[in-house]
Amino acid sequence: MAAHDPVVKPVNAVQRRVIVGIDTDRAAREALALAARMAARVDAGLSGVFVEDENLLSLSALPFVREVSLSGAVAEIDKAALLRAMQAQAQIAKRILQRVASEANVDWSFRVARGTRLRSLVEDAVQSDTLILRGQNISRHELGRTVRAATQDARADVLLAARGVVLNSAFAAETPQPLNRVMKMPERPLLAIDEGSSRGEACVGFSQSLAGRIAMPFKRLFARGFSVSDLGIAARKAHAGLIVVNAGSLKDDDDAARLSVAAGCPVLLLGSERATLGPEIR
Amino acid sequence: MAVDPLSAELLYRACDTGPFEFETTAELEDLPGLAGQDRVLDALRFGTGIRRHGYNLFVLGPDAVGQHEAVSRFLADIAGRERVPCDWAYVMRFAAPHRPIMLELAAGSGAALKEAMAQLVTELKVTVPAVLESEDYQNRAQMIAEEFREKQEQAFDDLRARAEDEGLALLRTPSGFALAPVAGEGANKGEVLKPEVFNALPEVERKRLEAATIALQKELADTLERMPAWEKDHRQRMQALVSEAATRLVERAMRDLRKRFDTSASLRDWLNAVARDLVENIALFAGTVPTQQMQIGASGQIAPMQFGAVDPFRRYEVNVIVGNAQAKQTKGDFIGGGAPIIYEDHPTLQNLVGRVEHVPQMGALVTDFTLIKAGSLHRANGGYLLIDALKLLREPLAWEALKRALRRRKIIIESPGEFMSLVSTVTLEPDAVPLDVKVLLFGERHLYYILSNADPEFGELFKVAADFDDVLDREPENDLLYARFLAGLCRSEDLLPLDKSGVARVTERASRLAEDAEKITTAMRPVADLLREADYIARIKSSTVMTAFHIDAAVEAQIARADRMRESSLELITRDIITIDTEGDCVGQVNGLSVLSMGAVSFGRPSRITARVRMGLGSARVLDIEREVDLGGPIHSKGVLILSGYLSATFLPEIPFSMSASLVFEQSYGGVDGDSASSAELYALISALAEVPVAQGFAVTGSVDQLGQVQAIGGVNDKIEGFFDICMRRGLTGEQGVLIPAANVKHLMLRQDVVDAVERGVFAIYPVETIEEGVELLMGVPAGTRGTDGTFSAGSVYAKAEARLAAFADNQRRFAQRVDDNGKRK
Repeated sequence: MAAHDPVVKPVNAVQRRVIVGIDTDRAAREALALAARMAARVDAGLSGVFVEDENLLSLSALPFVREVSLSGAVAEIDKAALLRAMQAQAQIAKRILQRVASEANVDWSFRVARGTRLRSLVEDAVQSDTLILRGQNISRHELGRTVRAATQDARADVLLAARGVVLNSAFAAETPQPLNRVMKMPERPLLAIDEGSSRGEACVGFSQSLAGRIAMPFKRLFARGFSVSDLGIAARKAHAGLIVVNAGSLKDDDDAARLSVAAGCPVLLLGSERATLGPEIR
Repeated sequence: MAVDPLSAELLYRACDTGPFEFETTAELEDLPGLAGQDRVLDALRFGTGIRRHGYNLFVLGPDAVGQHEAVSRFLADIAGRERVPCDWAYVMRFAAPHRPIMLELAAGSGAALKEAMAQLVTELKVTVPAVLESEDYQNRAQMIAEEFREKQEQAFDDLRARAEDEGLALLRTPSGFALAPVAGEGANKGEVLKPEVFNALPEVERKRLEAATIALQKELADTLERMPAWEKDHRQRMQALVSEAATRLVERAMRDLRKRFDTSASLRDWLNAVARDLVENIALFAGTVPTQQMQIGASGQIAPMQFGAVDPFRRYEVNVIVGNAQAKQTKGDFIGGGAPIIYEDHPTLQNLVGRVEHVPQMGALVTDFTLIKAGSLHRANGGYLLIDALKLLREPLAWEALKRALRRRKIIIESPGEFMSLVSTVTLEPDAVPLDVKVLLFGERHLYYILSNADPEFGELFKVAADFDDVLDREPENDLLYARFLAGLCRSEDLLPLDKSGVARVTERASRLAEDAEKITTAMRPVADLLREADYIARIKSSTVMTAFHIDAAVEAQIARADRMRESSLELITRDIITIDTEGDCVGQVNGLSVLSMGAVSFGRPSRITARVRMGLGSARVLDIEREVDLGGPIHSKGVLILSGYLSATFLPEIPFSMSASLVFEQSYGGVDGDSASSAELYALISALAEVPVAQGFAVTGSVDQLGQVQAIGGVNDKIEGFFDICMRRGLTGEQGVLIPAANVKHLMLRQDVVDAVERGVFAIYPVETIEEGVELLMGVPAGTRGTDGTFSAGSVYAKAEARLAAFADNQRRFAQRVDDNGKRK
């Protein structure tokens, strides 16, 4: 680590972590902000992962592949330059993480991984962790696969905000004072999906505890036999700010992303072992 | 011909207390201002009544007359009935911040506008964030943002879908995007093909993938090129949304304000500009715009860095430079009245026309319209501005600035540094303020005459002169008026009241100050000083009123405090260091009288004037020694030349005059001017010529004309008292006295000890009308009159003088006819 690098505060090994992939684009920054707020509310550490995308290194070796800049200019790809750019991005991402964590007053850690983006995130996740995923520039299918890997293989939770979902409805920053004085913003509830099983019961218990922790009104939705679109309609009707659902209750890989879009809010998908852990949140 | 000495009654005109029907001045009403100054009153009425350009006033008179107080009282009376002028305020010109707008507001409404604008800003600070954060607005904004995002993402999704169909993936690179072939199945499904895998593909497949990649790359570039246009469209839609919300908000917030201040076109225009600016800068109220951005004006040009950079809401402030809400109260330098009356005690350029202040900010001096400060011209606008002319002329650039303002009839703020190119800091060019003011300059008469002669604009701008009389006639009704004046003075100065004797003694003192028994000085300051000092003495003596005793004690104390020079002068004479004879006779020597003035102190002192005569060279030449050594002033020289005229016309008018004479003020080492000693000089010359001694117990004052008439002089009281003091110290002989011009008798207000001495017959004062009367008094022999035979009466002084001159003429002729040994004339 260079002398001027920020000190990396290791997150306690047993501490619950909120893991987020960090990058320098807007979607990644939004996800990071969401992750920091969530970590602050549930007393978790914030773990940032910057992924040096192997796919990019591979394509740089293909002679006919070009990079198209944001202004539309087409240029050849130089592998060494690409690597330097990634390293620079990693440094910037780390500084952003440090600042955001400091503002949210949470412990944080940072690591650089090489691999594919989503897979690298999941690789490090364990049972008590929560993975933050934004559905930006990722296909629905790929997102679904990652959610499945995280919740079933790593048994971690996943907070998914699909493309187009307003993030500030859950884990919102403090409401500005003048605004408080002049108008009362309606508070959007946390909606726990009870699909009518013991796991659904556990999900409700956990959700109640979480709602108390993050100061959101709590609502329970009995959703036995509900399709994803039914759930979306019910969530919109309830004006939900956050949906909590067992990941195992979703059938297809695409369902997670579809639910988030249909509900218009983030979805917290609980890992496969969450039901056995009970409602407590450390 | 013999002249009788003056009786004691003529030496001091006592004030008659008979007509006084009061016990003390506490019973008297104040004197209305300017009593006895009818000429000034007319000038002030005219000057303040005529509302035409250039009819400003110059109030002339000695400084001590108290013009300020009198004129202020007069103005307070008329100004109270006049309209209260409007308020003036500077506000920001949003299109050009360096040129603030001047607003004319109804009297007292400046503060109201300022408060209303402050409330507007406060209200918007609350309502704007509320509206911008409201669900309705946020949803609309989100919708626009989402539409934009969706449009972008749709384009990418389409591209991504087509890429997937072709077996390609769209990937984000550190600085853009790239398309690459990916694995379609297996564990690595969706991952970019590594080169060795790609190369292992059949050639047809490789070529297809390569062609598809290149084609989609082009489409991707096209899509990205369209992005800025979408972005621009998005910004415009967001701006339109903000503007719509802001316009509604601002119009609602300003509705009452507009109604309340819909008083003038300029104010309406400014409020419209405020509304536009609020809409443009609504983000300020949401707290999302860095203040530095406010430095860039609407025109896109960088405005001068302004103090407002610290607080962007300063741009909506109202700088009320003149507020007349309190005009009817007496406060600070407001003297009172509906129209303001401002006295500018320190008339510098900036105190007159106002100034633009600067404050240091980040190492630079910055300013804005809130730092514009009013000058006295602003504050007096619509009323009256009083300035001391001398103070004004002493201040660099101030006189010219005042004239410019009066000539242009507008006030333009000028910085002296900028004016003289001394500094080059960023400053403002505020709108000029229309000027409608009466300026009253106060000054001594000579200042008025100098300005009249030296400055052509002065006459154009100050057409009305209000000339204060130095004195009032001393008549019974004026004595009563003067008593009321004293009553007012005692009250305003919180002094003990005067009883009748006190009033009488102050009146007599005022008469002495006027140097005239028939006049009273209008000078207020010395009289006020005298009263204050008498009050002090009276209070020490536990008196409840001031009497003649206290006034006398105060006068004596004044004299005693300033007496060192007079005492020193008297001592030099009584110790015979300066020779002044007060007894015996002497040919060609006369005691003249002069007044020494040093600051506020003046006293009379005798001077020994001597004359020597001898035969001349066919002309009458009087050598003025003072003039020869440049100690004599022009008026003194004129007096001496007049003597020659008198002598040559009086003696031997038909034959050439053959006399040479010299005149000198003995032991005089300072300058001599004035002609009040010319009669004394003539007596000395006549004595020397006739060889008749002059009685040294007399002193003489008075000027003389060529016909021998003795003329009035100034300082007669001081002169008499000066000689009396010498005689008194040496012991009065009963043969001593002073010859004064008969015309000066009415000026006599002598000290009581002098009057007493005259009454006892040990000192005399002779009123002399002609030189001949004086000659007889001084030399004890009649001057003589020319008889029908053409000669002066035998034994007279003039007969002797003429005989001596005739002898000079004979000698002259004899000298002219003398021949030398060769028979030639010498």
